[in-house]
Amino acid sequence: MVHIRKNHLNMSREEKRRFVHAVREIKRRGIYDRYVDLHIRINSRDYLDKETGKRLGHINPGFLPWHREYLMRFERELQRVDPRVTLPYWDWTTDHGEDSPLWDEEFMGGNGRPGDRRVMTGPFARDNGWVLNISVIPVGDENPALNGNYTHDDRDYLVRDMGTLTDVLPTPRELDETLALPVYDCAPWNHTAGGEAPYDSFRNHLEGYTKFPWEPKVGKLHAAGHVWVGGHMMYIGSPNDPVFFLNHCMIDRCWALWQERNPDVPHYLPLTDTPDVPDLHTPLGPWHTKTPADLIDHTRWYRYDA
Amino acid sequence: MHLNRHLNRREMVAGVAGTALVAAAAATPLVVGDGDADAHAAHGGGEDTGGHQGAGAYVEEYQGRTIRVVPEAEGGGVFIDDRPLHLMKFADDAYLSSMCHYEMAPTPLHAARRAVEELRGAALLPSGHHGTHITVV
Repeated sequence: MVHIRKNHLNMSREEKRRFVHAVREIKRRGIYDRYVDLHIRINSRDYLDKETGKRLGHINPGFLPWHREYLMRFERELQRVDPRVTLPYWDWTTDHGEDSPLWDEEFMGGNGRPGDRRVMTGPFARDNGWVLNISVIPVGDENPALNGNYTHDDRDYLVRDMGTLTDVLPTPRELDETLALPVYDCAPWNHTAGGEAPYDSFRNHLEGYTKFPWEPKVGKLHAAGHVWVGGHMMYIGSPNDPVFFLNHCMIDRCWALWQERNPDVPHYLPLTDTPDVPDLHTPLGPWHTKTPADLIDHTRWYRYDA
Repeated sequence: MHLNRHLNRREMVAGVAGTALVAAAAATPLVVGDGDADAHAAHGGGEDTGGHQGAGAYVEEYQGRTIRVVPEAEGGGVFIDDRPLHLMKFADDAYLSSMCHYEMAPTPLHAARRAVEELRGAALLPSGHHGTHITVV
């Protein structure tokens, strides 16, 4: 059944309560941490020896379809707890600032406190039972970066540091200029793709590793969502912060908006076998059930409210 | 100071935000492995000085933490208080680490300083496999 994903600003108090409850429930059951774990594993593999080697979900064209499947699977877990729950999105082109309802005590909770930047309010505060498990205890002899027991540091509480690393979130113009790019992605399919005219990488401009010459600095859109929130959103274990899923839901929506705006171009590239990156028909791991071609049209599964 | 000038230039090229400039000014190099240690460290080494393990490493004290950048020829890696930092190389001027994952750092040393800032006093945890934790430096 096709369901609707909403801007969190358009959700009722009850809808938000249900979402938070489902997130906390899958955390309690150990499912949430498996998603943190998976994202870290894919990140690690994607980023190991990045001058060569296959990439799947980051800094390559697979970014959008890989995260689409990741989010759908996560959403399905939430719906097993409560079938009415859908993923909300955070439209950071207009929804700015620490006083957004996004950071209400009943929803995402607030910024970290001064000093250690530990989150102290809301459902994802350590004191309210949100304990970070992944990235805390290494297990076994295998490289922890590869077995999902990836460690960075000894903090088991969520950290946020809003507006410190960058004080600006994206603007409607910034998104508009990126959605206007008619080419999905281009060689060398990495963090440098589309950096020069004619800027042939919608994907890399959306992911935020390149920019237009008239923009002040790199790190827009997807990256700005991560960097502006700061703390765990900046780390390899970024899904430890549930706002990760609202940021990526917005990114997923941007792919849909771009397709609507550019109906007559290929909605994924490369079309044919290309070293190191998934092509249109590469099954995306670790699931290997769908290819980018299968994932282009989201309307089979869900729609956006706007 | 040569170190600062060098980093500033690279930062401007890489478009890194102003916070890192403050970082560079606050760093104190402790041990120098060869005559051009600053450039050496900034590039993550790559030159075998022929000495014992760590002889070519660049070490500095930064915000109370000890950063060590080991040249590739000696196994490579970036360490904070002797704990390895997961560093990922994309190009000679583009690195991500586990602690600063959505903003490219122009050198391994930059990545290490950003990690110290993000740790806010927390410790990196030891990895199961000392050394192999590091990918490419």
